Amino acid sequence: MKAAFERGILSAYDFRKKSVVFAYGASVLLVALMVLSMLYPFAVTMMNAFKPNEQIFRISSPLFFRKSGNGRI
Amino acid sequence: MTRLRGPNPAAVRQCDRGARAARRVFCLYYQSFLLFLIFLWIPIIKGFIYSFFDIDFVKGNRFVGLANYQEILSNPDVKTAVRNTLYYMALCLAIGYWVPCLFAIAVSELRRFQSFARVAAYLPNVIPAVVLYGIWMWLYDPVGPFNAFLKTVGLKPISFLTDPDWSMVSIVLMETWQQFGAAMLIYLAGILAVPKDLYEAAEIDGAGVWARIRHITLPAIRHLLLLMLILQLIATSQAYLSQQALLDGGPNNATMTYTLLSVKYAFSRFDFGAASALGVLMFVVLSGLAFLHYRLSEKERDVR
Repeated sequence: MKAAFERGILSAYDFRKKSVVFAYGASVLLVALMVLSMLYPFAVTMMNAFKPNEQIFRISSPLFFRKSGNGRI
Repeated sequence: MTRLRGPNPAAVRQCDRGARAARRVFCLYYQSFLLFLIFLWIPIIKGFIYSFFDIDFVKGNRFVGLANYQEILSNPDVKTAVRNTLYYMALCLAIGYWVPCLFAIAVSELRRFQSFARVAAYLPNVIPAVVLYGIWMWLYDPVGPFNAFLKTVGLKPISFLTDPDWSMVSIVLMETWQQFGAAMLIYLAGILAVPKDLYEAAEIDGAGVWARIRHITLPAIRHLLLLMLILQLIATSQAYLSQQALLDGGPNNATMTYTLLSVKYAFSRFDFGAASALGVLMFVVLSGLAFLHYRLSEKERDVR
């Protein structure tokens, strides 16, 4: 059985309005960006552990994943 | 002949128990009193006394009256440090103060992944600060990810840490990222405690979403907002850690804050008298803020 919708500031009725749906979508996107910004530095640090120094400090855009094929472990 | 009666054994036992309890309470009280005395009150009193002395560990201390205060008030570095600290406090208010509240409202309305968002926001608090500074130094690097992104979208690279116009802003952005999770959780607890009936009644009366936030949510957490404001003012007025760890007050004293300068007076110039005078002035200002915080806490307790 589907769980009952527990209201907060917004009710189920509010979601019938397009402007509310749009604003809610924008706030969810904002939270998603916040979560990504929180995780990115940790993720990139972990990924850097697998890269050689020249890949960490590339002058062109930094890589998230290690680029293989340079003969180094 | 009257027979002498000994003490009542029950009364003696009760008296012993009372004495033991009193001894235990005294031991507990004495420990904390001693700790506060050694690590808090004596340093504060010594700081006051040292501010009137020229401290010399070799020749001995010499009373100089208000000379230390005159020295620091005539030093342009102190004026720069005060200006930087006020600038930092203003930036933290403009950039960092409203962010936790905004995200707390947004997260409180999430139907899914609310717990995940809470944990993610709090994540930087569980990592040692020095490690975070290392990560952010790399992120702000001239060839780091932020500048690579700016380059990708066709913008000029920014010297986040070495440009005096950007250095303090960069530190505030980093600190907002690092610290807003804890404040967000406090706001979130306040927002989730607001009775849902109020929203329902307001909606029936025709209040829109913004009106509900403005007239129900924000007034319900107004004491929290005020309390967090005072706490933020107290915390940011003592700005030291990130300014020291990331830039050591540079570039060109752009991130030299008051606390950092007083530490430099003490441990770089070994002028403990002037450093103590700086500390005393700081103590006076912070005592005012702490008193305000105390009064607000009392007021909040009375409201409850």
